[in-house]
Amino acid sequence: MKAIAAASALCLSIAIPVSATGAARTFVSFAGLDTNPCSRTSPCRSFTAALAQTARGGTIVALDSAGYGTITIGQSVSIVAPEGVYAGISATSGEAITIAATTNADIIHLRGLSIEGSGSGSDGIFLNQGSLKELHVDHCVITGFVGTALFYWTTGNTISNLFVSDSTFSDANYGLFAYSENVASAPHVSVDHCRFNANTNTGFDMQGAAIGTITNSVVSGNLTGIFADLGAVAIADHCQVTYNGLGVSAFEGSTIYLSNSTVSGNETGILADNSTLKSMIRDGTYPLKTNVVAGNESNGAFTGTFTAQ
Amino acid sequence: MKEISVLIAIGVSVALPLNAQQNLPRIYKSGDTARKGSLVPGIAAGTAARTFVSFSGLDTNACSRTSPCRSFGAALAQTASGGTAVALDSAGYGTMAIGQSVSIVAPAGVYAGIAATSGIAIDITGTSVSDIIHLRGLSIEGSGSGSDGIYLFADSLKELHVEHCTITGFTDRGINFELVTNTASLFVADTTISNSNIGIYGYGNPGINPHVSVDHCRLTGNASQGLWMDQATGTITNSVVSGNGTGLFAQFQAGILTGDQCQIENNTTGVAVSNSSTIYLSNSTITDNGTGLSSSFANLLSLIGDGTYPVKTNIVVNNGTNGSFTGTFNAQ
Repeated sequence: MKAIAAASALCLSIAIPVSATGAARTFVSFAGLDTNPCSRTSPCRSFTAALAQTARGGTIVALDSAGYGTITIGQSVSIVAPEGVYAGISATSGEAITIAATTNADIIHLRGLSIEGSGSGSDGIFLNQGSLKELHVDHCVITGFVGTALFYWTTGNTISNLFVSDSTFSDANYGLFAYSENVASAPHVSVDHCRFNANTNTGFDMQGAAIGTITNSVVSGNLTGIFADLGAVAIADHCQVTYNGLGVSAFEGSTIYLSNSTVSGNETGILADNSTLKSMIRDGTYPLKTNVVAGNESNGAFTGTFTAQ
Repeated sequence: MKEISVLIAIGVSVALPLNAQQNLPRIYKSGDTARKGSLVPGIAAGTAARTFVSFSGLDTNACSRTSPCRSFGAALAQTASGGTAVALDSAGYGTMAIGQSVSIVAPAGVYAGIAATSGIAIDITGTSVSDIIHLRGLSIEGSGSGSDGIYLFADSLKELHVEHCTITGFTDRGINFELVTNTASLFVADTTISNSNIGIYGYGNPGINPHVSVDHCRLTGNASQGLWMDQATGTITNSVVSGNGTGLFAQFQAGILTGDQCQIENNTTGVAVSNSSTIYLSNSTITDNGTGLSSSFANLLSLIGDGTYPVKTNIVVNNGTNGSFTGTFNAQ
């Protein structure tokens, strides 16, 4: 490692991460030491130390339940806590997981992590004006951040794919916030079987050029549940949208398609402002609608319909 | 795609008119795509009904609970046909060739990695028409250079069950399931297959028609196809098919039935069907694809609740081109 660092220092203009030649698989354990090589027999104590020893595209595995520290990721990698292992990443200030200096070829998988802000950490997973090919978030819990549970602002010339499944985003200011100024760098977001609960501002929030599809998910107790703003597009199917200030809301030239969903117990169920908010009907001749919009203080109204195929 | 052109080139001298091509059966000839052979199964099935592997094990051990082995390959050689190999703790346990009925299990809480930096991670070879294989809880990793995650080519098999596995980073297939002499069934549940060339590939020689069942899976970020049925029948339900070249693809008399609530999102082409195949699609969300629906000399059918009062169920919006179904089928 030392030799590589020296070599990259000589190159000056090109920063070669030492991790590029690391191990394909590294391990962390509560009993580990960061001075270890992060091998199975000599695991490290923190994800950060393990990442520095992990090859691009490699995997970091948590061996047993513990907190493993905040981390900045700048390469393709999988970070995995198998079921039965609690792998906590706590940030009492700042970000828990920062994605920085990645490229549009990098792919990151996060699986089984508990990402905690304890009411004072700023953001859970934080990609701020960067590039990434794909981020996969599966079986994670992200909670208690004063900023955003998953902040995803992409820039550059290639789109970025965000895949989220079986995860919970709660008690933050924003749950999942995806934004790009340009179509060329737009985040395309797939969410399935997730929970966006009790976020102070928005739950599932698509902004600008972002396009998101959310299915089989609960969006409950947020100021705004499902939100598309500044021209964004959201498609929601089989979702429970309840007890929000605004249940489903499109602003500023945005579009939301809603189907087979339950929108109830919100102050306002449906709201479109200079935007399109369409309800599915199952057929044009005998229109059968599919959304339950009931029991809101004000149910609101769709701007139109779209027809199932 | 490479294969199609190769096979057509083998089968006939020049391209047939499209309406003739559509019924041209595909028959594998030796050497078409077989990559097996780098891994060799144990010389003979062992005698233990249950064997164990552990990071602290030794392959010279008996693979018993008190004396576990270090690798799945060694455990398999000690496991009776139809037995079970269990991972006791988190580690990498090596690539393997499976030539018998067996269950390979990592329980929740144990990370059992199988990494192939070249070639195949799990090669099913030398099996017979009565063999049943279960793979559960495994992390199967190609790191962008291994060729295939789980690979069956031309060998016989009765059933392959894949549950709670993660298969990622292979240059060709996540799961390759090609049957030539006998039919077989593939069951995949609660599994993620990502960042490979093809997620799941099912093929049968004419008349073989293997069956593929996929439920609660995520097929994401595969460069070519998420699920490709080629003269095979597949059913995929409650799954996410996202970020692939083509999400669902059926060709050459294949049939895919997609049931409730598949999210088919952000693929170059969401659902494509060609060459006399049929895809039945219902209650699914086809959004944000370059092209949502695509068909060529084939049936792409949408569920309607009833023939008299048609009630359709698929959401096809916000694709570059939505495309269209070729027809409908009635719920019963």
